[in-house]
Amino acid sequence: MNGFSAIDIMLNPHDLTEILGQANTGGVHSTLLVNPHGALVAFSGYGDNAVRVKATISSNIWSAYEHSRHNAIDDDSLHCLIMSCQTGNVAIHHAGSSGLLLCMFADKTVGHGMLKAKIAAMAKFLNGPLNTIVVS
Amino acid sequence: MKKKVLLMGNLVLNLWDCGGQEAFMENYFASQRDNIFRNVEVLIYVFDVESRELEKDMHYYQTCLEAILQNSPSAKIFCLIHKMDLVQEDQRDIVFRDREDDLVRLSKPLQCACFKTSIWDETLYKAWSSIMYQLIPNVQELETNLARFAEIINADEVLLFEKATFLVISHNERRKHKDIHRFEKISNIIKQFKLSCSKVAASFQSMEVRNNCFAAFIEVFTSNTYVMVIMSDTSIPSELTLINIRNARKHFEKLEKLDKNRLNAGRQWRV
Repeated sequence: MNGFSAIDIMLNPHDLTEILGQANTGGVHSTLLVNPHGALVAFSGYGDNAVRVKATISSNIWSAYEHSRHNAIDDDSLHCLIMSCQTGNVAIHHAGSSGLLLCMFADKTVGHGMLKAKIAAMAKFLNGPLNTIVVS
Repeated sequence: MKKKVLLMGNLVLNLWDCGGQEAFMENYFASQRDNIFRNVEVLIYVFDVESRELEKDMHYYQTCLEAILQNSPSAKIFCLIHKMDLVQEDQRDIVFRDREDDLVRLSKPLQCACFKTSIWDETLYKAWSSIMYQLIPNVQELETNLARFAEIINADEVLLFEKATFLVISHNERRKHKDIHRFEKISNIIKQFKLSCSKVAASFQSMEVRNNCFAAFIEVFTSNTYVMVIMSDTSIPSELTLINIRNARKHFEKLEKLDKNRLNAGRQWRV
């Protein structure tokens, strides 16, 4: 029996952090991975220490919109959330099929289009490994 | 006096306490001999180092070996030279080597492994852990997989505990630790905690201990084991380690099931 094929379906912390860090350019200052309950799974960023709070709040906001879409006529699942805040912009995106969320925090200088393009690209890239793992 | 303990879900450990009383010993050898010595996989014989009747002790031991040779010749034999704390510290090695030589010689053609033990230090725990380790058929495979697991999740150390006894049955150390008594200490701490959980009718499931130097996770793993993961990189969020443990569970559970299928059906491990 090949004992290693199944055990490779896990996330190496170092690699994961490095991948997330690739988005932190041109005004994007942190990229996070959050589980459906709001717990921080991984992050890469600088100049920030309220990461866990941001993770929980992002997850909450996403859940709130997820719940309200049930009342909407359009049955498409929530795809991406872009928020314009006072001191910066935030994007939240599905990551994998088990409920993990990808979050990106950027300066006001980063346009919404750019933010959306970056997070969509990152989410697509992470779909492979994240689709195979069990989150809860 | 007899007691039964279930290990790893399907191994039955029978404990026969003769209490040093001759009547019991004679009885066991006479009327219960076949019952006790048939289908034995492991014999653990405990000697009191302070015993004044060495000849008699050896005689009973040899009688056991004869019964083993007749009924279960392929059994593994372990001898514990117990109460070593009563021997002066500088004498312990000499006394133990002496006894070990005698026992190895007397046990021929059977082979025996000897341990010096005491309830006052970690030697007893280590001896039982070593014995447990040898009872697991696919222990090498378990170790290889544990090593791979530890590497992927970037853990300092990963331990596997047997569920009922909390004996360490496998571990992988990626970063050296200077406290050699840590296994028994951890085992005792968890056992105490389990006890206090049961007093409020709650069953222990998991624990996370974290400070600025490390994070330790103790989780139910497979149906017969608990896992303990030590991470010294405290920047790694707890949830990531927990996700990894969850995902590894299925794999190790599969390993355990495979192991069970290799044992003969209905085979009882008599110890």
